[in-house]
Amino acid sequence: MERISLKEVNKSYQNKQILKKLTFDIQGSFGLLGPNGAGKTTLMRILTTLVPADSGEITMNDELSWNNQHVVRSYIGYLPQHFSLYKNVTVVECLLHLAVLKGIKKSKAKEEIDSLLQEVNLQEHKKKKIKQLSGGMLRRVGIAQALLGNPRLLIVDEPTVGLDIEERVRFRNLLRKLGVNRTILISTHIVEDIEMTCDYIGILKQGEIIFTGKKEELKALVAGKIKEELLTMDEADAIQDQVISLKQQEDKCLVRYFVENQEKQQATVSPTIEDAYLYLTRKGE
Amino acid sequence: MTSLRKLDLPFEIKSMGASYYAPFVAILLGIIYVSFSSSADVVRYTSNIVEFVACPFAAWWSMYLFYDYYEDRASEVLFSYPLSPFFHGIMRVTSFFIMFLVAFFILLITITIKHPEISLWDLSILYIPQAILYSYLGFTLMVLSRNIIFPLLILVAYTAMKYWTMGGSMFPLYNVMSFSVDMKVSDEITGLSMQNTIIGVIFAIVGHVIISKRKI
Repeated sequence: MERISLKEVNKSYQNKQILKKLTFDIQGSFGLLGPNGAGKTTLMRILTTLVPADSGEITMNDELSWNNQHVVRSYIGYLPQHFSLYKNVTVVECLLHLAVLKGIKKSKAKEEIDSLLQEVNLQEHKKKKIKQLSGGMLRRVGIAQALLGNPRLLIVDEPTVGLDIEERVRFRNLLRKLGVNRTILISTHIVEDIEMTCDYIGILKQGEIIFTGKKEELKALVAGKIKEELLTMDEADAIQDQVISLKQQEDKCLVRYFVENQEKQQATVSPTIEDAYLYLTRKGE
Repeated sequence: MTSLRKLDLPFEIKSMGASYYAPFVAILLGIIYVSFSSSADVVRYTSNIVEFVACPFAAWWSMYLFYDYYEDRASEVLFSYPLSPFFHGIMRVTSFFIMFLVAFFILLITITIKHPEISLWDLSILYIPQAILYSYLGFTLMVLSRNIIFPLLILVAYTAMKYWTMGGSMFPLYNVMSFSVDMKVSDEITGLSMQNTIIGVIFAIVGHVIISKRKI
């Protein structure tokens, strides 16, 4: 599997620094988490060669440099946050055209498209026009086009935005499956997307990487720091800066919150990715 | 050469939908007028139709080729593919311009058949440079604005103002049109045609630079 290394990558727009000296490795199924405006989409666009970095270096397996844009493009498959194109043509026609644009011969492309449509479960809808597809189906066409040519690196930006619950689950399962034998980078602000699909996690906050590592390593950061108990609304309000989640239970609330002092830590619960993410992103605010 | 093989005109045509047929409708109306008009001023009116209606339609496909790119935001996907900016821009636009020229020539040939005193050579020198200019102007305005309405409005406003003022000082902007009444070439018109061609090439280069520098 491929390893993408970023070294001191910087990017500014109109005197505002969006990415600050990013240095980390992307490998396996890698989830990039961060609040809106953290710089995730900018980073995706740099990795897909759509915008250049101001400085720094990006390489694949320490060999291929991102300065070699044309070659890099032939190694990546990209599904952006907003995917919609060629509304007047059918799914198959669209994919066939995109395959040719990617440099796949038409005869070979037909076979590949057939197997990709199976993989993304769109065989039944292959003769439908793009404008007739639901949001979830469109995302699946998007992933199929990204997979054309069997790219070494698959980049997916905000995979489940705009999908209903059922489609979300189906799409996450698909991403999980796709990440088994290839390097896949998923950028999102939805923690469940990462929890279900990725082994490695990076957290981006205000243009800086504040964590990279395995899921378990992220959870370990907040082990012993999460508590869950029934509190009144007034009690919950008193610790609102520490609250992770609230669930109404009759006249009280089941409150999940961070604890910092030792005595309370004795009755803590096992942490989730969301707990760790909130802990890191709230730190210093 | 590899890029040339990736050109898929039937697909591009299909993806444009009904919008693809607009230039043909304009040219067909021109052909019908030339074939059936018996007005005393038929040559002058025909010249107006060619200059103010047919030639500006050379910009139509140059703009609609980028409708999916910018209005549907497909540019983010398509520019991540291993394709050059030259392919996305000049190559696609020029291939559709050649298609426009084929239809346009049918109109010009119809004119020479109906009016044998007018030569096809003169018509080509008069009007093809205008079509070149409009085609690449449409391309440049589209990649600059990334919005189909802006270039359409500019072109409609420009041709309408030029028609009403007939190139007069009321609208003191460069005259693409020759305002010819006899459809014959003179030294002045040859100079205008050369200028139009050069400006067309400049627009093509500007569009190419924009598409190379700014992908999304």
